[in-house]
Amino acid sequence: MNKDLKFLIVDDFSTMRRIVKNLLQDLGYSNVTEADDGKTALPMLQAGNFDFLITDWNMPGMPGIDLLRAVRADAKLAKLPVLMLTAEAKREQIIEAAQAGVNGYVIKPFTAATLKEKLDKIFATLQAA
Amino acid sequence: MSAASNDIRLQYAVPMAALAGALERNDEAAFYGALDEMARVREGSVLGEIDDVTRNIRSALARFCAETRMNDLAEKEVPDARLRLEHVLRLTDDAAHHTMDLVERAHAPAERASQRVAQLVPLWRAFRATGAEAALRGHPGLLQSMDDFLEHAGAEAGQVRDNLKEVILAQGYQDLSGQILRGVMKLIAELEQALVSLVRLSHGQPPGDGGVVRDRPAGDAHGHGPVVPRVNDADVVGGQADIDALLSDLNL
Repeated sequence: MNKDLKFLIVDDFSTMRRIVKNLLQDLGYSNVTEADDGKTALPMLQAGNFDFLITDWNMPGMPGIDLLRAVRADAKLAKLPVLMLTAEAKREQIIEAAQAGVNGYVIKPFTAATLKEKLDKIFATLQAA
Repeated sequence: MSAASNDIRLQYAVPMAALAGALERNDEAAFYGALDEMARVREGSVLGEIDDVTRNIRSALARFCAETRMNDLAEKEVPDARLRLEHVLRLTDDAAHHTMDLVERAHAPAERASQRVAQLVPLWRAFRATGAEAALRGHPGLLQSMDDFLEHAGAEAGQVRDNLKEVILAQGYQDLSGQILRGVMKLIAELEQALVSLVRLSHGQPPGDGGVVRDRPAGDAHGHGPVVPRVNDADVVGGQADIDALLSDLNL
């Protein structure tokens, strides 16, 4: 996969943003930007030519599910791959995210192998499309 | 309620007589005038009762606040509890970042050591093939030690790298515990505002709602935070495998 892909990580905890950034760098992706909630992330996405969005759900301001919906509703961003990386574990929420058009859902705490597997799966699906 | 205000003869005798007189005379204006007067007397007595009830509530509230350390709780201890939790959040955040600083700093030397070993292996093999034993005669343990070292060093460097990665991932506890702490802090802030309103009421002041935390309603859309056993573990998935199965059912 193209290692120059531009990622945006959205999480209100700087610890988690740093962890994900580290893992992405391990996988060879070094073009990584951070935002601390949906409200900050959306204008960055609209202005920034991002290739991939990894977002938390539970954040002050705009939660991840609303960010996902805003992305899907924006003609320019509608096809952006979105991976939800969250501690939210209710069945209804996972279904809600799927219906809102999420590309993958990883539950916290997670392993490096799980993150890699879900990223690879999303890339494979996108390439096949 | 006083005995005097309870005496209906005292209150109603005069307007009642006027009412009866007006009825007798068929004097419509006087009749309705007397009826209005009786209604005024009745209204006054209801308002008096409301006043009594309000006074009683206020004095009960004042006694309750005085006797239950409510003032201390509202003004000092509950806000302190919130600040303590904020401090815990900051401490765990600092500790997690400090750990990651150290891990990131350890990463480069571990990587360099691993590369040096990799460079050394072919050199050592060449040396081994071309008379190492003759050159190192008199140092019998050295050959074996170098063989062992080079054979295992690469794998061990890999283990160090993997463990460092795990240490970084393990710092995710700060996010998970932090989300739970933030939930409790929000609850404490609401409690604090409710107590402040109660204390204000007990001092005869309006409760005021300017500072009351009218937070977003809890619900799926805003998120519940991590699952806490025995608190919010109903209808949640058991782990990543459950999620994958659920998403696969939804063709994702």
